[in-house]
Amino acid sequence: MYTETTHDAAHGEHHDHGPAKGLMRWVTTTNHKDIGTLYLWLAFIMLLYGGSMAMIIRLELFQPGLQWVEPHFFNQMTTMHGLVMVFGAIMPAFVGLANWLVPIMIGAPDMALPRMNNWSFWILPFAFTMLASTTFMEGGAPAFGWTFYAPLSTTFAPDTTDFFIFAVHLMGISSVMGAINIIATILNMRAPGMTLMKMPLFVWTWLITAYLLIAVMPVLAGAVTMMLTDRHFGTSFFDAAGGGDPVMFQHVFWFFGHPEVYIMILPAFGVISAIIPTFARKPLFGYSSMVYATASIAILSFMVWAHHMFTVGMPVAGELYFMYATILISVPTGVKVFNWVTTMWKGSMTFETPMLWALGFIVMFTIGGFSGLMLGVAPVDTQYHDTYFVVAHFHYVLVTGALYSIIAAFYYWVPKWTGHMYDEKLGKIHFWWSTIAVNVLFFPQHFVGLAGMPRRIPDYSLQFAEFNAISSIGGFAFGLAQVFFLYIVIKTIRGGEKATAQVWEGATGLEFEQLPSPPPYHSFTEAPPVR
Amino acid sequence: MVNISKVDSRGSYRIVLSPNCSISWRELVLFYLFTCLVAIAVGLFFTLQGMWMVLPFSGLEMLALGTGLYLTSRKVYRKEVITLDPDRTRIEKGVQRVAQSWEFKTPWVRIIDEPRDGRNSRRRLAIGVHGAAVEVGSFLANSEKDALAFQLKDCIIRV
Repeated sequence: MYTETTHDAAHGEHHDHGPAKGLMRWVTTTNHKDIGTLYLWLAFIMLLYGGSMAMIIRLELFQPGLQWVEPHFFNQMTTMHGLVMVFGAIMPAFVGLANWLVPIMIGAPDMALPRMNNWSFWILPFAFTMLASTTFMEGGAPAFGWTFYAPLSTTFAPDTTDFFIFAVHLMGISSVMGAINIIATILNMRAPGMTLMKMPLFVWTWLITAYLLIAVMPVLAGAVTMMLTDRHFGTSFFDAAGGGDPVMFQHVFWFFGHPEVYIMILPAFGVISAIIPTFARKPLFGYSSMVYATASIAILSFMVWAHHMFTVGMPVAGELYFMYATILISVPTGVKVFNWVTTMWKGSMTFETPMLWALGFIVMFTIGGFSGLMLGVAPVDTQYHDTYFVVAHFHYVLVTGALYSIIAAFYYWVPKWTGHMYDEKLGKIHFWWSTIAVNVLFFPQHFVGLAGMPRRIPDYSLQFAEFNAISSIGGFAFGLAQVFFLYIVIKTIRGGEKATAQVWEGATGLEFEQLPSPPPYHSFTEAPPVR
Repeated sequence: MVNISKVDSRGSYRIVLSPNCSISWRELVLFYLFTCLVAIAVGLFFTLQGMWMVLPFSGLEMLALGTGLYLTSRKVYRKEVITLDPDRTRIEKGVQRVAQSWEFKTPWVRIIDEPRDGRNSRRRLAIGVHGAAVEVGSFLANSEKDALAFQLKDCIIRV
């Protein structure tokens, strides 16, 4: 017997060869960090694209009367704005964060199915290009609202709707593949010692989000396929003339659509649960109650869909059930808010940029939550339904909630990702500029909504003029703030003060304790120790 | 993960190698079945309302999830068993059953520890005789391979 050892001890162990060079690196990559970066850039591009449509909407609504665009084009803008922001900006941004963070938070070398990860990303640019191209086709882009209710999306829709259907299928396939990958990674690839109840809350919230995606995506796929067969193959799923039921479309859509709201907010809870303890310099209060609250919210999200349909008409017993079930969601959500506040209680708090965005999230998401409670009360919803109050509500949830958490996540983890600290002064300017603007933009919409201004209209009565003008000014300022954010992002990537491995004094977790900033291209080729 | 046990009084050793896995097969199957139950229940609910086109997508998705979990578990549930006795060294590989096996004469066995080609920083550890060699512990980290190489040498000396 003899032993043959031909390796050079100085070579190998900690040598990181890094990524391939050139454009093809990004096309063929299976590295979770590369794919996370691609997702985040796609989300940013979509944010600016969807935001530019919001600018057109606010420009038209700056004054009563028709000023800039035709009503049909206005409807295209509201529809595309909603679709692009939901499926193109918020969801891909969270998937990007999951790609970057889940493996390095659980001590895994990469995602469980790296090639599928590449496919799930690269489907998306094609889907969104196809969706965007409908704007330039005969008939124009979809104009039936992001909820694409039948028969507007079937009997009365333009031919371009088929491209929309195909694009939605592609987005769904991408989401499902992403969800499968995240589930397989979290279940199978945690480092030794990383039990489920030791996982960072961001990982927990993503595990539950992935489960929600798995549960509801077939419903969306079924809905758009039935739309397609109603349009072209003689079926009558949603056509009353053929024995179908257009109201069923709304049930199908909202069975998907309401959990979708939680798909867009649960990972935000995970982000905030990482940031608050770091800058309060205290462990998260009530970790296990946070996990159970997240699971409870996810379960309840399946049982409340018809609160979007109170005005459609349903038995009183149905209204009562959906009203109480909806209001019940405020209990686990309240647990979360109380836990964040309690984490900060008597903490040694500092207010760096990520903390400011996280605090902004807590305050303004709670405003969105309270207006949601108001909308959940069936008799009251009869007045609020389809008014600007609803627009104000879901923008407080999705902009000052989901988007704020994504921006907070960027400022919190970008020193880890790039090895460069962002410019603190610019970050704070970005926060205050955005926060003032977003409230000028959306808060007056509560008032015009309560006064009866309907949503999805390009013209309105004179009494709404002042609040709409104020809202538009806020909109332009908020849009400009995000262009400023683009400058901060590029500046941070290109250089800046060197970040330490821990980045923040109070930061904990494998990504801060076990990896340098930036982490090597292949991190955790060996399982890290888990405390 | 490397486990070593002494098999019998003659001084045979068995080394069992397996990748890190954070969930048992039973738990994974239970998770999958529960997910199928939820997805199929949703599909059936809409089928009963006449919206049967949800159900095929539920089925397809469960197929995709099952395939994804199966492929991942194939990677993490595999085992490599190296049995050393004074005469023979046996290497067996497989998932839940022996899929491949090799046998060498222990006195002639050598341990090969070499860098891989190209950009891969992970090393290759193999057991071989003359021109034939079988890679072992390809899923192990370099530090674990160091420990395994040391233990293999130690076992070979002892037997």
